[in-house]
Amino acid sequence: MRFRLILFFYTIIYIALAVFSYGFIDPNFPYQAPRTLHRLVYYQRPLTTIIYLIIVGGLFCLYGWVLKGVKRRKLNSKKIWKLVFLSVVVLFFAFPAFSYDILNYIATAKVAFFYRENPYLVMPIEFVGEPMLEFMHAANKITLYGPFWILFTGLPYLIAGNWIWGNVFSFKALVVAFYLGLSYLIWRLSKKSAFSLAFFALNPLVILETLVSAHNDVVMMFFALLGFHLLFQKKRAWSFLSLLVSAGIKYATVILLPLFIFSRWLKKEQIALLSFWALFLVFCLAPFREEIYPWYVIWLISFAALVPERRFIFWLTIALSLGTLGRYLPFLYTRSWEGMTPMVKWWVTVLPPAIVALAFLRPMLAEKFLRDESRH
Amino acid sequence: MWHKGVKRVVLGLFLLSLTPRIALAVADYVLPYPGLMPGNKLYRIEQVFDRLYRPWVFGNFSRHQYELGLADKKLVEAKVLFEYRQYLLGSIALKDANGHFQKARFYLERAGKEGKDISQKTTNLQAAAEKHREVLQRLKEQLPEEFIWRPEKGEATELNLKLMLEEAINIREI
Repeated sequence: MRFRLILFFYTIIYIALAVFSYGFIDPNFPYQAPRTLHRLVYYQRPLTTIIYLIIVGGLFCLYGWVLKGVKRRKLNSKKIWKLVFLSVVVLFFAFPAFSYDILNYIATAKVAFFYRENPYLVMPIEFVGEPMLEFMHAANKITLYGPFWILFTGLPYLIAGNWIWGNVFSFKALVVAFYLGLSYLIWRLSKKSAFSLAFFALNPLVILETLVSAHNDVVMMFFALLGFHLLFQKKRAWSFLSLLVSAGIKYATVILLPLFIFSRWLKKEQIALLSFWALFLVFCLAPFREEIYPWYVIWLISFAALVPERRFIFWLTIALSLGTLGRYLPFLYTRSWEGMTPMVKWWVTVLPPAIVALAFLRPMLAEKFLRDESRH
Repeated sequence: MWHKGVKRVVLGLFLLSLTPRIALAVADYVLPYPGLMPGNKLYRIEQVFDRLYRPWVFGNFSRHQYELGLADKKLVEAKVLFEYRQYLLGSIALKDANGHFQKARFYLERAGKEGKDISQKTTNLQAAAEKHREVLQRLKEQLPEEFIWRPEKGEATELNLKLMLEEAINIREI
């Protein structure tokens, strides 16, 4: 009964999210959303913000409910996999609402495979008359991704050709396939733990940034974790190759190289922990390059799922998921990246992890204080 | 007393001179600063790097940009060498610049044949050609028509600088 209720609520929220996502279609996109949806997102901004809050809030409530259910052994892996497949089936049809990155992936693939130019040297904007220039948002940039990602994008691009909808969904299919692959790897690496699987695959940030916005971070993390999986199976050469592919997608996982090299002297749990903190460091350095993007938290969730008993990491990851998803709020409300938006983005990102840090530090400090007092 | 007044005026004028001024500057096409010159220990390394970089440059737009960049670099190199009366090295750099410019044009034409819209890049190439011709024309006015380069060892080389510069200007007529 309980599981059916969870299933029902997830279905409702996912359908609402999928429908809502079509309101975010760029006005210059060749296919337009129903007028009501477009008007809602572009002109009824307070209502849009409330709907977003309800969806994200609902997803977090369900997430908590599921995690609690797993912990109390009321939900097993089979049921979690059912929820994962439900997420994939419904949200595959959602429009990449909260980011234009998928359009950049498609444009890069087009530069490489249609125009046969080097996407590291030629920007999409250089192709006068290219239809995608009307609605993509980073036409004046050379590609930011690694060569392996460009090779991967060849497949969905060649399947869909120059049909933009075909491309959107073939690229989503690629990302979804890796989401399932990464979820499976986490499940395997955690000795088929339903909790680890649910912690990663049903995290609202992972759901929104992967199944809706189709970010390629899951592809990078899939190969990083596959590298570890191979390493534990004593297939060192293959594991290094896997890490190379991972770093060749989005570069961030290159920081894991020392851990691969010194893995012989480390336990599995230590590797997962150190990987988490190493990627947390890269995450914290992101503002020096551009800014902290919500989908970077996927790097952390992937490793946090392998050490769910670490309470601080568990809560920190959830706080970061919540905080970074809050970064969309000021934009949804104002439809501007200027003005108060940067300040609000900063506060909503920093506040939840700061609260978690304080909550964990307070008992530690209090304990230290009591110890010092007793000495005197 | 009047000293103070003069001081104030001078100080005022000085402060006024520090305020930003608006000036019209026309820079349709900007050539790069001179880089490493022959004789520098790193010059050879830079040349090797340029060659190693070449396979990375695939696609006609990329190659056009790469060749145009080298044409600019070599032209500036030739200009500096000529100005320092290193006529033999200058003429070698100029020949390189000519070759790169012709290749830049070739790859752009090939991109056009592929069906790519080359209007913007053609405009850019025309601006580059005009700037190159301007530099070459100035050199033509400054340099001797002919020059015999006598190295300390080896045979002398006769350099027909006027003909060389005219040929370079002709290559850049679009």
